[in-house]
Amino acid sequence: MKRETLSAYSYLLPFLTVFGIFLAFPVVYSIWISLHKVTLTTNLYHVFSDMKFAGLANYKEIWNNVEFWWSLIVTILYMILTIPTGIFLSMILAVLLNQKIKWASFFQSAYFLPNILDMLVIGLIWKFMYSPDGLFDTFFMKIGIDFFHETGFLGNPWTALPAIAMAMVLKGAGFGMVLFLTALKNISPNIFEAADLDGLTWWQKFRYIQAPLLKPIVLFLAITGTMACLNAFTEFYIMTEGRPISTFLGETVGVTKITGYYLFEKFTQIKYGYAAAMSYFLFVFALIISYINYRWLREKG
Amino acid sequence: MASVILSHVEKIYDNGFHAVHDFTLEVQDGEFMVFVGPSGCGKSTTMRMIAGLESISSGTIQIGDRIVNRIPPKDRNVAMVFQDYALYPHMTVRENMSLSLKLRKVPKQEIEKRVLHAAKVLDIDHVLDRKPKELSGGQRQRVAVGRAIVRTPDVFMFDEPLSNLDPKLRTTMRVELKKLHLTLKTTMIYVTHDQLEAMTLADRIVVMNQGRIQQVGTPLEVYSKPANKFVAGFIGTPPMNFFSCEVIRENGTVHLKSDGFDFHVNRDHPLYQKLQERGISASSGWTLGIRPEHMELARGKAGENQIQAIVEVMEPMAPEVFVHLTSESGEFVLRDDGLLKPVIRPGQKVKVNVDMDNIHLFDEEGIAL
Repeated sequence: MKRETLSAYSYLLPFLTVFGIFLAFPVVYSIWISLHKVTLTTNLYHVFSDMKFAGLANYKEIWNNVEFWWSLIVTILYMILTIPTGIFLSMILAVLLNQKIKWASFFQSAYFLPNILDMLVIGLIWKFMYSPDGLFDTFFMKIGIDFFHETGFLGNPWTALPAIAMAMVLKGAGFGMVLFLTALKNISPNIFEAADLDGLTWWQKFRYIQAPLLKPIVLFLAITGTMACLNAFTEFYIMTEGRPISTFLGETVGVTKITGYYLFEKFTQIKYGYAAAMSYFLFVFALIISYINYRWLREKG
Repeated sequence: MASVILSHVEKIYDNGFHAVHDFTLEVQDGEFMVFVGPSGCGKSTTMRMIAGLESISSGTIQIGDRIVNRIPPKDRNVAMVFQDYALYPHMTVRENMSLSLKLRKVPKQEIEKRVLHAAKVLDIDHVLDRKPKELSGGQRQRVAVGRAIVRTPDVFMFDEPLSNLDPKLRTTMRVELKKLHLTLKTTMIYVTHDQLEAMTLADRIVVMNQGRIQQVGTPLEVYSKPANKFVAGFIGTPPMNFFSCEVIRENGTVHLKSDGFDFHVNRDHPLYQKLQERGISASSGWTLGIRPEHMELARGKAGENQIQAIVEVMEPMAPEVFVHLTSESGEFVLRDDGLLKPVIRPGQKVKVNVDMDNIHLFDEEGIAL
């Protein structure tokens, strides 16, 4: 090996070490775990070294588990509720803030601010606002709607998921907005003047000039949004813990028991093999969805 | 095709900045009119008001026989070429050129015909399916011009279209724009801060400064009969030399006097007559303007109308040479034809002859006599 190559690797070494220990190894190790099971005879003081080999049993169990498929449905619903609305809202905010308006930079910072807050804090604030006699319920009671009074928004099977989705869309919109704004600010103002002379309407200007430039950002937000939904946990942990309860194909299920929370639940029930197998299942799912996202947005361009 | 008439047009921005003062001008049908002036002089603002991109604070703008004050840009039938080209980045050259026609519901075949024709004229027919970022600066500029041509507008407007090109390409494009004007015979309004572009392209030039028209005239007029000191200093490279002097009229001769010179203006000189008409016999605060090309190094003995100076720097421009000199009356530049014999050196004392037929005299307000 050449000297230069050697020194290059030596510079990479610190990162590679950390990467190996904390990322590469767990990925491989969790494959091993997903093929094993904690059984009644497992020594709980040395769980990982005393799991029994189970082959693909964990994967089979997941495949046949209604609760798992329900959690996946919840996740997909959550994606549908958050991703398009989040992208749309951040784009609208960016287009509006790109106009010459007073206080634009104030609004810009204000919308971005929730992003630097911890998810736990945001979740807690929204939980208070959604609870019976919270901000929203008080408002609805004032105008004579007592539908939400008994359970609050998060206790009602119909409103729980949309309520969490709304909180998260509002939290995340500022981030997308900053990305969109950066792209919009790169467009020379003369292009819009040329468009005025060419006779483009407001919509045509957006359609022909701004939208194509924003497409890579839409793709980016769609993919990162998908990942975020598949990993979503904190907001559910703090706001609903998977509740309220409902039934699906004869099974009792948590209306907001999203895959991330379901995974956590299995983990706390020391079903490590099952949880590991499930995360691989979700990994494949994430790959497929991202690929579809990518292809779909590419073709449209 | 149409004329453009501006009468008493003013532009005052919301923040109170008065960008354009009482702008009155008639651009004739088919004329190539160039607005020239230093940056911030209001030339671009004026053009943008004609295009409708900027509102008019007062006065009227008429294109053809329509007053367009309240007509939106797209309905004024004007086309504009911007300094940074302003092409639609995500469209091909063909789409860029045809979009405005498509929006105006021109039949497809007609669009295709016009785009192809314009592309041929501009020599960009081989890049029609490329996107702007794949083109060179010069090609982008042509596309921007092409996008304007296909619309067959009444008035073409150019906002510093050559500023982003390299000097060599700028010269080429300048000639091509002039050819284009001869072919299309459409009214053109062209904004530039480059007086050379103004001189070479224009049928008439509007020289502007601080929001006001300083002079309107053919390139030759503004060069040889500048209306004031600003125009005199702005048009021409290197700029006109200015010397402050006093005027003394006695015994049929006017003396233009300063520490370093005493020039004689005879009775038959137009300046003499003008001074006589004004009844001026002795006054100070005048500015004498002499262009570098109207001064030459005196070879041989001393004579009348000379100024003594010391050579500071020489800029050989091939074939001519700009000689920077310093005298008791200040620094100045002269333009020599380059046949410097004997060769002069920095530091050398020389005598400079002044071509008295081409001197300019400005009063205390800077107005040409």
